[in-house]
Amino acid sequence: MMGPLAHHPALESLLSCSAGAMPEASAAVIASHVSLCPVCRSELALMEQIGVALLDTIEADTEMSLRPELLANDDTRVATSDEPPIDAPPLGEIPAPLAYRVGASLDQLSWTPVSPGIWLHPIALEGSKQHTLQLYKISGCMALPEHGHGGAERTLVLRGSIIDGGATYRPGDVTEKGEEDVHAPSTGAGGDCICLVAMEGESLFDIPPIRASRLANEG
Amino acid sequence: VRKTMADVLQRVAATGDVDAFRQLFESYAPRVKSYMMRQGADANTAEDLAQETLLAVWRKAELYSDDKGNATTWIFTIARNLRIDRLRKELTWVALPEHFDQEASADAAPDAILIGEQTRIRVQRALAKLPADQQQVVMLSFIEGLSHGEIAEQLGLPLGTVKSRLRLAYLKVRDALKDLQ
Repeated sequence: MMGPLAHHPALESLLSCSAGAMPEASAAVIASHVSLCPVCRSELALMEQIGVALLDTIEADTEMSLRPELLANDDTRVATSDEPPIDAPPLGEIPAPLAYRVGASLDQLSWTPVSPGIWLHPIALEGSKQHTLQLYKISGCMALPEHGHGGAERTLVLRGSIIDGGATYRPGDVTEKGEEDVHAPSTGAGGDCICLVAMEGESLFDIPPIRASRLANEG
Repeated sequence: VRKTMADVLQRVAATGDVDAFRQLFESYAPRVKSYMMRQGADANTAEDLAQETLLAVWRKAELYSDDKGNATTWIFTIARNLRIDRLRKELTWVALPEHFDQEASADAAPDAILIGEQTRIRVQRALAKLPADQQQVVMLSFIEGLSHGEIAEQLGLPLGTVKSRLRLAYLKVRDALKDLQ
């Protein structure tokens, strides 16, 4: 179990998740952090009370009756102990929400090389194609070229560390960058860094591999 | 009304009381239907999703107890996740409350969130007291399901303004609950 985390998502990002309004790639990063972070879990539970309060005040101009056949045919109301257990992924380096999609081991993932020292593992999303969710593996002690963003970029560190703007991000930590941010992160010493990255719009890592490699060399 | 609703759910939980469940249903299903329609669902789809939301509560009613949260929290979070899954056709990442799916609580310590009568009243009061511009972004986020970017576009505001209004609104709600935590 990791200690208290140093870098959390912004409150407005958590709020958007609790509202169910966060684009799914970013929601994956935030929810994965939340599953590791009791502090943010408490915030989220509190934020959900805003949703509850608003649902209480929403105007309902229609009447609805319970469809009798639903309950009559409903023999599914069983005690939870009778339900087959959900296959909970073993606890590992991969946060539970993510483990449901990619498995529980970072060492068993397939990686596609992007440029020297950088590999990626894309995660399929159901909805918008404008957003991407990817795992990145980046060699330790590697400086990435300075880059801007076409939209928000949210990163959750899973292994190793990222140094960005004077701060060090360790496993469980989140860093959020906006359209206005230009940064040149690097990875820390001590082996590969693996992180989950959600991007809205284009950034360095949307550039095709060959160009990314050239940029890396120029940088 | 609230207290009655809690009693109603207790009866649903304890005895599988169909009449009690019907009462809960008639109070909340139309609101969940409206909530779905605000995301763009047609009336029939919205009604189906409202039925499904309430039925999920019925199926899990044994797990309900006062110290674990409340039925309305379930209703909101189930409806929220159904809306993401069925209407937006996206993966849902944010889990339902931990006590809803019991397997989630194996490792994580139960979070000390006291969601009682006082919490409910204070959240509603704090929301009612928010400046109109903050109320607006909270509604657009929670009820219309708009992202920060979509809210900025709709209101013609810089993204940073939307974020700071949401943040300020939440801080006021949290502040109103400070001595309950």
